[in-house]
Formats: sequence, C-alpha cells, structure tokens
Amino acid sequence: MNNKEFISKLAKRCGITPAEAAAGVESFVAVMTERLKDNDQLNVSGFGVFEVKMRKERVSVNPKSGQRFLVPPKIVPAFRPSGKMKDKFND
Amino acid sequence: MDAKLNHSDLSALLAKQAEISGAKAELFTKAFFDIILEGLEKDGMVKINGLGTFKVTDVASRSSVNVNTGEKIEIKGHKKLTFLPADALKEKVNQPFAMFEPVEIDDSYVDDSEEPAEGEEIVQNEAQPVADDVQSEALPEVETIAEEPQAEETTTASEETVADTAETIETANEEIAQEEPSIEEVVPAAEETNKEEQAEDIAEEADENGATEEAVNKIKNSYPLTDTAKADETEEKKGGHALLYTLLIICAILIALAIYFYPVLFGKRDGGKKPVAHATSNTAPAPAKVVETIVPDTATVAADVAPAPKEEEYAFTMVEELAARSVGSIGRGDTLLYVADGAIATHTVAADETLVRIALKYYGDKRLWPYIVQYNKLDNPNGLSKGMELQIPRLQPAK
Repeated sequence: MNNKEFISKLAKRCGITPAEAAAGVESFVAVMTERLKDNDQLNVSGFGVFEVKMRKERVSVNPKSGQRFLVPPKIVPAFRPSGKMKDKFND
Repeated sequence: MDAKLNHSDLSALLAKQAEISGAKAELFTKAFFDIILEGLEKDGMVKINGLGTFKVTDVASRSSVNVNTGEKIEIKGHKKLTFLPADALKEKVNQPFAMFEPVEIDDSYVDDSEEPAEGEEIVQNEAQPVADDVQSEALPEVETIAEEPQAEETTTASEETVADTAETIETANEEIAQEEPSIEEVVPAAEETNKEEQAEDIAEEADENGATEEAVNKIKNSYPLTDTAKADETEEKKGGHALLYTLLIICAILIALAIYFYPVLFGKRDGGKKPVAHATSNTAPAPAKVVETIVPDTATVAADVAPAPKEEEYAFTMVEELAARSVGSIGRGDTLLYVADGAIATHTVAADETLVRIALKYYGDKRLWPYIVQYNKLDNPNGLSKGMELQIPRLQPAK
C-alpha cells in the first residue's frame, strides 16, 4: 500500500475528499514530527510507540581503503510495535 | 519535551494544527492507524509520505541457548513490524546535530610530548667537575691523565693511579723499616708521589747527604708504574665520589707519614749532626762526594736513627766479625754506633785509594770510613795523599 492508496482509503473511511485527507495526513505527520523533534514519545495504543534515539559518535573504517572516519552523533526516529501488533502478524 | 503523548493528545494537537474539531481529529487519527494496520495485513507494507514506511518482515528461525538452563532452544521464524523513517523525518529530528559531518582521522598524528633526552650531557657535566677536583688535589701524574677528554675514564684511571701510588708508598715504607739511616732517601720518594714540589725540596736536602740518586731512581720508577696503571685501568668505571674519598684518605695517610718522619729527619739536623749517609744501593755516590758531605768533627759519628733492639741484634764486638759480614748484607739496616778502641793496624795510603776503600778493606763495610777519619783526626777527608799513614781503629759497638 503506497501513499496514494493510503490517502484514498483514509478519505473513504472518514467521508472526506482525498485532497482533504491528504492535507490531514500532512498536518498529522507535521504534528508527529514536531513532537519527535522535542524528544516526545508518542504512544499509540494498539499500534506502537514513536520515539527518538540518540546514536553516539563512533569511528568507522572503510574496509577497502583503510580510511578511518569519525561519525558524528545523531538523533534517529524509532518505532516500537506494541505487543498486540506482534501477535497479529504471527497468527 | 520528553513527554509521553497518547492518542488523545495527538488528536488534540492535530485539531489545533488543522483547525478542525477535536472529535473530527480523533476520528481521523484513529482511522489513520487503523488503515495502516489494514494495509500491513493486506500488503505487508504501508508507505506514508513524510513519515516513513511500515513493513512486515520475516525473521528466520535461529537456534539460541536458554540463559538460565543452558539448553539449546530454537527460536521459530516469525514476522515483525519494522519502521523505516522517511528522510524528511530523519532530517528534522536530527536537526540539533545537522552541522556534524564525518571526519577522516589522520593516522600520522603523533603525540610528540616527549622531549629529547639529555642524560648523557648531564653525566658528562657531572663528571667534569670531579676530574677538576682530581686535578686540584691529586698527584702530578693524575694531572696529566685528567687532561684526557673522557672524564669518566680519567677519574677511574686517576683512582687506580692513586692506588698504585699507595703501593709505591708501601714499598717505600718497607724500605724505611729496613734501612733506618736512609730515611732521607725513602721519604722523598714517598713525598714525591704526593707533591712534586715538596719532593724536589726534600730531594735537594737529600742531595746534601749524597742520597739524591736513589730518590731520583724512585721518582723514575714511580712514573712508569703510574703510566701502566693508566693504560690498564682505564676500562673500569666507578663513581666520582668514591674516588674523592679515596683520594682524601690517601692524602691524609701521606701527610701523617710526613709528620711522623719529619721530626726524625730535621731534629737530627737541628742538632748540628748530619747523619752519615750509608749508601745502600749499588749506585752509591762517588767517594769524593761523600767525603764532602761529612762533617769531620762529629764527635760520635751518628749513623743511625735506629730503634734500640737492632743494636742488640747486631752486637758485634770483633772487627773480624764485621769483616766477615758479606758485602751483600751491607746496607740492610746497619744502624750501630761504634766506638774506637785502640788501633788494629797502620795503613799506608796507596795511590788512588780512598777512605771508603780502606774501610771496606779492614771492616768489610765501606760505610764505616768516618771512624777512620775521626780516629786520625783528619782535617780534610778528601785530602788523602799517597804514602799517608792511617791508624785503623778497632771498633766496638757503643752501648
């Protein structure tokens, strides 16, 4: 299911036009992004948790050239599915 | 900030953002996640622009170990939900660290905190003053050695030189013990190794007694000794302080020896009696010179500074016994005083005959010629002439 299919289904479910649904999705993603930027943890019951994680700096070596690079630290978004989700796919 | 937001909080935020009612927003968000679940169940993946991709992935079965029991267990293959965040989301979340970029590390970077070692220079600087001290304090031989460039070796060499000098002094002391009248000869030799100037002074004094030659010989002997010592012992290396102490001790010993023997030497001289120089070596001074040095009017010819026991040891009463003594033993500690007791013969001086030769003929000891001078009351011991008649006295040990 790609983005277009997702929006059309969402519009159908909510009884709104796909354009409105697309705008709504965009707004919701913007909200989630803002929250994650503020290190917030988004708990969606029955689905999972959106959060951010800190990756520390590290030294990586290019195996071909032997060059060593210092990789800077970074913050990455992460998702943890809930327990229900795990069971759902293994049935 | 680090807050935990639930579904309703998200809906409220969405309502605020999209300017829609809260109920509508809540419906929307609920539909949002439900449709994701449906899409995952249907296709196994859902892609949402700006957020990322949800995927159901297969996890292969693998064997593992129960950490509690140690049993091997098999984890069955299963499916799990994964989320790949979109680049836009990653970029925005990582905004605080966006300015960082990977930096290549240069392997050639070396921590050059170490400074070049200066130990050898320090050692040389320390060793040089030691050598200077040696020069100032020590023997003339040491001075010549200390001028060599390598300070450590010179200090050791000078130390060994000192030791060798001590040996010469010891041998000199032995000679002192053996031939007491010859102290003037021995002491200069010992002093010479200590200070050359002093040695020269004493050598001059000894020259008056005709004993210069032996002193000079000793001087000559001491130099080769130290030279060989210098050549042999330069390999050894020892501390400079130990050397200094050794030098000081040896100097103290030498000074003590000098103090001990000086009264013996000069005390006699002050008394107006010059000791008879018994020529003890083969390099005896010429008889004429000896005659010059002897003061004729010495009442009792003092030929010794010997301790009393030796008199008893050599208690000869007969001239024959004196003559019977081998020439080889002459000069080894004869420290007796004799008194004239009558004449045993009358000697007519032949041509080129000297008092020494006459003494050797009658007494077997050439050192006893002053008794002849004394007995005949000769004004000029050098003035022997052919045909002169001399009374040869019978000598008996004085008591």
